Amino acid sequence: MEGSVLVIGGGIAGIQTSLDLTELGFKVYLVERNPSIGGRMAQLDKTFPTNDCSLCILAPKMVEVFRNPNIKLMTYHEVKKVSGEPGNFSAIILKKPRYVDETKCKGCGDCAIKCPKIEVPNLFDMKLGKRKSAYIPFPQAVPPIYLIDPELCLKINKGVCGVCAKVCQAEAIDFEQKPMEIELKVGAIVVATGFDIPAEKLTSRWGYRYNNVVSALEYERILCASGPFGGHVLRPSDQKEPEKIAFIQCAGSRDLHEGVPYCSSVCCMYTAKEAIITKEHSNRSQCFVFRHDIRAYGKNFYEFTQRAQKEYGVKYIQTKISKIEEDSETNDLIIHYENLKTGEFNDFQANLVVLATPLVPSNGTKILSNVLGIELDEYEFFKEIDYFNKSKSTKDGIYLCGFCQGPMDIPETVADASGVAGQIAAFLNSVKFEQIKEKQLEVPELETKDTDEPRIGVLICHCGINIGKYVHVPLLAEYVRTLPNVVHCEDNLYSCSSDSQSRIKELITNHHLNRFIVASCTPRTHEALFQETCQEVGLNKYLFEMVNIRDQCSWVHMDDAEAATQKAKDLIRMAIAKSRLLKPLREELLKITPTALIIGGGIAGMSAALNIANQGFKTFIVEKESILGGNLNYLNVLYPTEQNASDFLNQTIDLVEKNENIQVFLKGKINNIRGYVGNYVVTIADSNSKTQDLSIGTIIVATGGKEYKPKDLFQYNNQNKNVITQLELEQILKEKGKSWLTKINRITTVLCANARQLEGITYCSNICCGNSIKNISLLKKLKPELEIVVLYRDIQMAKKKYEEYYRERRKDAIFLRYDLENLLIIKQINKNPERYNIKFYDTNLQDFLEFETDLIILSTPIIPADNLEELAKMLKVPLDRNGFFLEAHVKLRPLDFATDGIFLCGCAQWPKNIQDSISQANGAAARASRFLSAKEITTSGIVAEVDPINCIGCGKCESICPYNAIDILESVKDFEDISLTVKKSFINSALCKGCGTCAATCPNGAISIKQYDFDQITAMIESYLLET
Amino acid sequence: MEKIYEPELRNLLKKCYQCGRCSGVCQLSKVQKYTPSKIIQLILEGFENKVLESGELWDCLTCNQCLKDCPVKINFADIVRMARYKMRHEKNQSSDEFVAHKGIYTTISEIMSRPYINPDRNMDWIPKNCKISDKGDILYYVGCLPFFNYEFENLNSIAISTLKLIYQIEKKPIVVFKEEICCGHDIYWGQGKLKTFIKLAKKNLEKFKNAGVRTIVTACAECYRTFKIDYANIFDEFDENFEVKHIIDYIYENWKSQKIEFKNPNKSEKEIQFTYHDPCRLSRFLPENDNITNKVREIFREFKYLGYQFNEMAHNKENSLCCGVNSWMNCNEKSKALRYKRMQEAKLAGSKLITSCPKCNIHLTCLQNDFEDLASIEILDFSEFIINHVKVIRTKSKGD
Repeated sequence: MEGSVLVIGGGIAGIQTSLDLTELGFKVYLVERNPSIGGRMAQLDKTFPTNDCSLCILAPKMVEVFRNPNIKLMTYHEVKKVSGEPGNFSAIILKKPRYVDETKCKGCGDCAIKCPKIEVPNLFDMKLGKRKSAYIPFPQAVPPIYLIDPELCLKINKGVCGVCAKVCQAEAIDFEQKPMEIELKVGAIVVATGFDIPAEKLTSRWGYRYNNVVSALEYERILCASGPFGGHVLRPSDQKEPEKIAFIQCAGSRDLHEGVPYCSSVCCMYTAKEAIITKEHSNRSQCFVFRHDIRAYGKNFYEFTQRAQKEYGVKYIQTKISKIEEDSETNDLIIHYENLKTGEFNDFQANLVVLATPLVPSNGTKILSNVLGIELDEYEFFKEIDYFNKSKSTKDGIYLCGFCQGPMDIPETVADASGVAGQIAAFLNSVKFEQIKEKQLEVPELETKDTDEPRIGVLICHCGINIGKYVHVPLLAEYVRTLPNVVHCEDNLYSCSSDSQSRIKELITNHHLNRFIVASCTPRTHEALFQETCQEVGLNKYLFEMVNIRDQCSWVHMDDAEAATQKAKDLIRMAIAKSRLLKPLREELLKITPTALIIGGGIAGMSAALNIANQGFKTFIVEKESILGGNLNYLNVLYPTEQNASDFLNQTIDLVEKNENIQVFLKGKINNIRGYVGNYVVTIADSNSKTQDLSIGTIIVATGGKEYKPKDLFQYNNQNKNVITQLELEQILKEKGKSWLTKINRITTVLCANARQLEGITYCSNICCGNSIKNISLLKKLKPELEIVVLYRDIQMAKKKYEEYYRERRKDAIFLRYDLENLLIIKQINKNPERYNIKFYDTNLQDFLEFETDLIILSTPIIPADNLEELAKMLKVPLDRNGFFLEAHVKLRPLDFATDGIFLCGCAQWPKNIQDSISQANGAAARASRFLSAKEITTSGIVAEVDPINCIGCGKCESICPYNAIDILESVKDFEDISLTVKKSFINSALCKGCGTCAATCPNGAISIKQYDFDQITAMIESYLLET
Repeated sequence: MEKIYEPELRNLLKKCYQCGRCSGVCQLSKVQKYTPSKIIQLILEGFENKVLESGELWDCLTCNQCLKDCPVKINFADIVRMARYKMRHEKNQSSDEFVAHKGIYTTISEIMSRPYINPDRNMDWIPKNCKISDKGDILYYVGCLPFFNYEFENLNSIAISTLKLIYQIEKKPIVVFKEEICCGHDIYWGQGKLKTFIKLAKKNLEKFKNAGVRTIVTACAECYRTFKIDYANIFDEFDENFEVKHIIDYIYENWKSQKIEFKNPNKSEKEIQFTYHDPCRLSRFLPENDNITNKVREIFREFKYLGYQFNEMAHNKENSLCCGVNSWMNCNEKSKALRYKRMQEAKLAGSKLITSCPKCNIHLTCLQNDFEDLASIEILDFSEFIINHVKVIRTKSKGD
């Protein structure tokens, strides 16, 4: 078995799974066919529903991949051949020529500046922008290495030019590069190849051929500040600001005839986001959304679409589009459509049209499936081996995550990606850490005392001509040499090159330096490198300081060399002022107890436990009921597989009970949780109320949810036996035969009962539509002559295969649409047998309808489990306003809490179906077992510190700390004539991230952040103000 | 400068005969090691440098308890004030680590001392039915209250009550400066920035003159002492030009001259027990002929008829315990212990605690967050306490 994994695709899915895999103990080869990782997410402007800048939240992860010594980043590579067996695959990877030597290129961009202005459309900007032959796909690309387009390059094509080679001071240009094949041995393979958005394949009626009709991804680039129009919303034909913008939903999706049959699942949300951002760009713009159903089923999604309408005035029109044509004079678009509310056919004139076109498996999926020998499904997404285990492909040892296996949004992708890492960790458990490099420092650290005279060395980087052309570096070096405590200063071409690292070490040793400064580019990508260099000759890494004289200096002051040089002087002088006060900091090693606690024994909790236990860690499940299984115990049949729920559940319970590493506490209760990541002590009361303390490393919250009982709504009460909830129906179907249906002829299912309202429960519960639709056909099978009416508002069947599942059952029932403005009126008209009259406003008919029914099934939302406040308090983690647990970041950390060591999955986070619960459970298990696998973790030296003398115990720091790293402890202090209870703040350095919020909040200045303390910051400010 | 600073500290201490009473009564010495008599002796013996370098004078509460009991009236707090100036300028020491709230309030004062800085103060708190003006003979000097209101709750109500009281009685627009600057008290006592203090004082004097002010009324014990004693000390004829009144003074005079009376329309059956915390600046810091401590008690005795029973705390008047913090210096557990002692006394004396210094109010209120057993005591400013009990007596105008 090989302790390494091949990850194919460097989008957010591939990135997340790679990062998790290395932390779980595996070497990763990350192959990406494009020149940069980042994938589609890097192209987005912002992300819903928080409107975070997409690249801003993604870029740190990209950089993390770049810096990770256990990820071999292979961009501009393609997988050509795979052979071998699970655990021992052999892969041939094609390295495409960049014509730039990756080992030499510093990403300075001098080649691109000088490259002649022959341009082609830039693919990253969806062909809206241009690039030259020598290029980098986007400024934040990872790796930050340029490449040359051989088709455009004059040197390669015609043997002339070659100016890039002349200007490249790193001598990285290599026109002789040839394609190369590399062979890799890996234990497992992850496919994360994402999606394409081929708008050009749409049929002509969508009008994509017109200049001012763009796909949604093109529009993302138009919105983006770094996009082709610099963040101004302009239309392509005349680069004028459009006033009326039409967003067309389902342009080619959910289309059984012309486009793709499935729902692309993310369009409703990104459209609401794009409309909101458009309005934020310009208040004059008017946004119209030509919608079908609104599918906003994720956490806070439905509310987001409501906000778009209420707060931003985006108009939603329920329509069917017949065709889009261009007005050839104005280049405006005429949309011919049917208004589904009024039944009228209308024309709408828009300045710009944005199409929510289908998202399809990325180009090349079919070839890759052949290379890997795995199957595709009917839509050419990769096929999972089992519906409820969606991360496994049809071949052992090859895993799937992200959009390549079906439509999903970013949080789901991230959860899946972690889940795959967890599954692989269990699969390759025996070879964990075999191929992981862990750097051992051979040189003992030099002792630096506070009293030692600072001896500072400074290295100033030209960064090719990036800095050197705009900042007068030799003058700068001369100036720096005059500053107090500077023992040595020199400049060089690239401070990041490997010979520069040797030079830094030489300087530190020869000049007996006890501080070092590099003035160059951004610490984001390079600080760790220089710190490591310092450590290699025994200098504590916190005695290194970096100054960015490129991004915020030479780049922004290109037109004023003198000012840029002056600013660089100021910046370096300030860094020296700080450097004098730097102290060597210690990083502590923290032992991790290799055990996990899972709170909740439903399907999510059991799946998480199985994953962790299969990685060889002792796992405890605490379940409050007397049986495992949670809500699954009440279910009859599972959709869309139509599997028997009990069979499915019993299989899982069987696995849990047979697993030696799992111990279950039924009727268990958690009484107390103390400690922190790796070192929790949890007091558990078992079924006999006997308590015991468990030593726990990490905790997963899988407390599930429950069905809302709509007391007194729609005649639901104790007396009326024929008004039931969907879950009650499941139980009846499970327990009784068909005899109970003998007297029932017409059944009415009410969707969104007490959900998606303006007040109270405002959200969509995601699973009710699927569940109700499943039961239609079950009922119909039991009694074919039954008449079933479904009253719905929007149908949320957004997953792969759901559209067809829904369409098939649509013929079994009458679907009627109501809206929130005119709620149903249900009256009982007969007691025995029970009979009801339902009056409602049919939005399709535009009129009130009345009918009678024998049985009413209410689809009510899922609400959080009981007593979560108490648990949240013990765990010190937050709940959201709906009472579900609040994750660290809705987009990129869906399974983590902000507090290290605690994770969540399943309905504890948000209502979700079984497939997603299991996928999340695997993800949470992976996130949690990263700590368990590591055995010990290193805390950062940059943490907050309390001065107990100044601390007045006011508790402001405790309440504001985002990581729950602060406790206020009480002690009694005796004074001459009085004893006083004194409170003091204590900061747990294992949990502290050094963010500094506490230090800024402390009214008494009792908290300081090491490496950024008040003295150091003041010294920098004083140096700037007083020494100019 | 020479009026407020003596470079040779020992010149001020020569009368000391080491009776040691100061160290015995020192309030700070009850919560930490602190011996004024020893400090005095060291300075007298020529070890001033050692004393200054140790930094221990940053700890002094400047509560003046020692002066009150000193047989030869050595003003130790004044020595501390000058020593702090020396510590800052000669020893290069910074008071930063002793200043609470990261020194924001003293920094604000310092900024306001600059000649070109004129604050644009928030006037939203001024009640609708009170007319104000920028010229006139009666000035209500508000002090730092509106600034504190950003961090502490509901302190505006002191300013609102005071302005209402003055306006009701005067029935003409009262001067309130939109560009009011700090009196300089904390800079003077806490920070030892004597030159900054002089700048502030000069700026203030200018403002008083420009507005044509004759009477300065304030509800703050610190502003009152600063104008009445320290400004008068610096500027010749300050006394002749301006009459400085604390709101207690002002109310007392109007009551005695029968312009107002005290009434309680909502008098309850049960007598309300209350007590009064004398701020050091209105007791030990004033000359003996200044009778504010007695005046306020006379008013409170009158409140007997309004359904209030005034009780003294164990330590009162010139002997009252310190609120624990002076000039935003040294907020810590020792200061909390001092405050706790004060609040324990208050708890025994009544359900309401009245004070006439907004800072005492802040510090004592703050402690209530820490100790539930103290939370029930209602802490009120003098102005807040009397605002609903003052009735203006309408005399018949004789048509002059």
